[in-house]
Amino acid sequence: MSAEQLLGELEGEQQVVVGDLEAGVGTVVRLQPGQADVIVVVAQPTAKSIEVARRAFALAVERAPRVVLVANRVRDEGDLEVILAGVGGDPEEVVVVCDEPAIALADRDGRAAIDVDADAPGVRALIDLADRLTGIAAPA
Amino acid sequence: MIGKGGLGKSVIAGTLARIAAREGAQVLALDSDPLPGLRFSLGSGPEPAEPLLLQAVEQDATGRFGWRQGVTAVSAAQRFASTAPDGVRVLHCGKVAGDGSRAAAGATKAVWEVAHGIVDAPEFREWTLIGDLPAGARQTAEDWAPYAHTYLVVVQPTVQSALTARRVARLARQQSPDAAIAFVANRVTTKSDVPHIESWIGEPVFASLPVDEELATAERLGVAPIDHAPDSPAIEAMRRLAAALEAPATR
Repeated sequence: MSAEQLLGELEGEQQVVVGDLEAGVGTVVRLQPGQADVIVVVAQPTAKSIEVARRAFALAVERAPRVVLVANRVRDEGDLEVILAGVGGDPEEVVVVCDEPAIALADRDGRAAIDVDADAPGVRALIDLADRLTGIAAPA
Repeated sequence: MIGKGGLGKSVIAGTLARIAAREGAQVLALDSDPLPGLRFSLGSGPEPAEPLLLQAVEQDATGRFGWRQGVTAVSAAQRFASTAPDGVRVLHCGKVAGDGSRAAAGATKAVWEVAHGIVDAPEFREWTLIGDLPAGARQTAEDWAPYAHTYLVVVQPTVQSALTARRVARLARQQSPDAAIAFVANRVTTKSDVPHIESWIGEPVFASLPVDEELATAERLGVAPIDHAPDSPAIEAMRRLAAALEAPATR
């Protein structure tokens, strides 16, 4: 069963289903409207990443009622501007995750970033994103 | 070039291709990754709407792609490769676009046919072939690189990448028992990184490439690292890697 078929089969009431999809846009291309409540498109400030995110974002807005752009590994305002200009599509919700040493450390050690340092700014941004997506906090 | 996603496979593939071409080799790069990457690393810029290779194939009544009349794997590789800086010839599979997409399917099928059709072709016997496979294990398991004398397994000092490296190396050995497997540690920051990686994968690392801010900058700009910072530590390490790959032990 493919990821998009699985999403279509799962009962979403009273539970949160988080799908970590394969790189690229293959799954989004095949996703049918109604199979996802929110699509989170992640981009980092490299030409390759922005090229994929641009395609993914354009597809996502046709397939889900809510699309959030996560600008990841952002070092400064310039990085964010490059991502926003490159992805285009005028996203209504943008979450900025800074280039976070705690996340890099977690990656190296094979641990969850939230267990390494839940108060680190980049991790905090992800916690805030989760709160927004689950309705604990309203969109900014 | 195989391994987990985001480790720099395309950067290493593109740079090794440019280095080999500058040293006089005839280089054909096979890009079977449906995500953009190798073009930037070679210095060819963004993807065209349709890869040149799509002109070599046509669809039959059932929708299947095959060579156009008179085209073979060898002639397709000769006629429909694009030319990157330093004369590197490149065959790109289609990149998945918004429609699904025809270009992706046709050119990807053509890359597969070329990869298998030129293995014993005398026209390419003297060529250096460099394959940039997509992240993960699927194409390795499906024998997308039958031409490979050496699989370069890219790994960086993270547990996840080491686990993937171990897995794809095992698949490559199953698929191509005669090919050499060389682990390349990328983005190495400390002396302990390589021993850590070796303990995770259970094998020696063949070459290590240092973390290099100049490469990160090139990636942000979408330009070839070898053009942006030709003398940077990582590019120098890739020159040493290219030389080591020429040594008999890995050929």
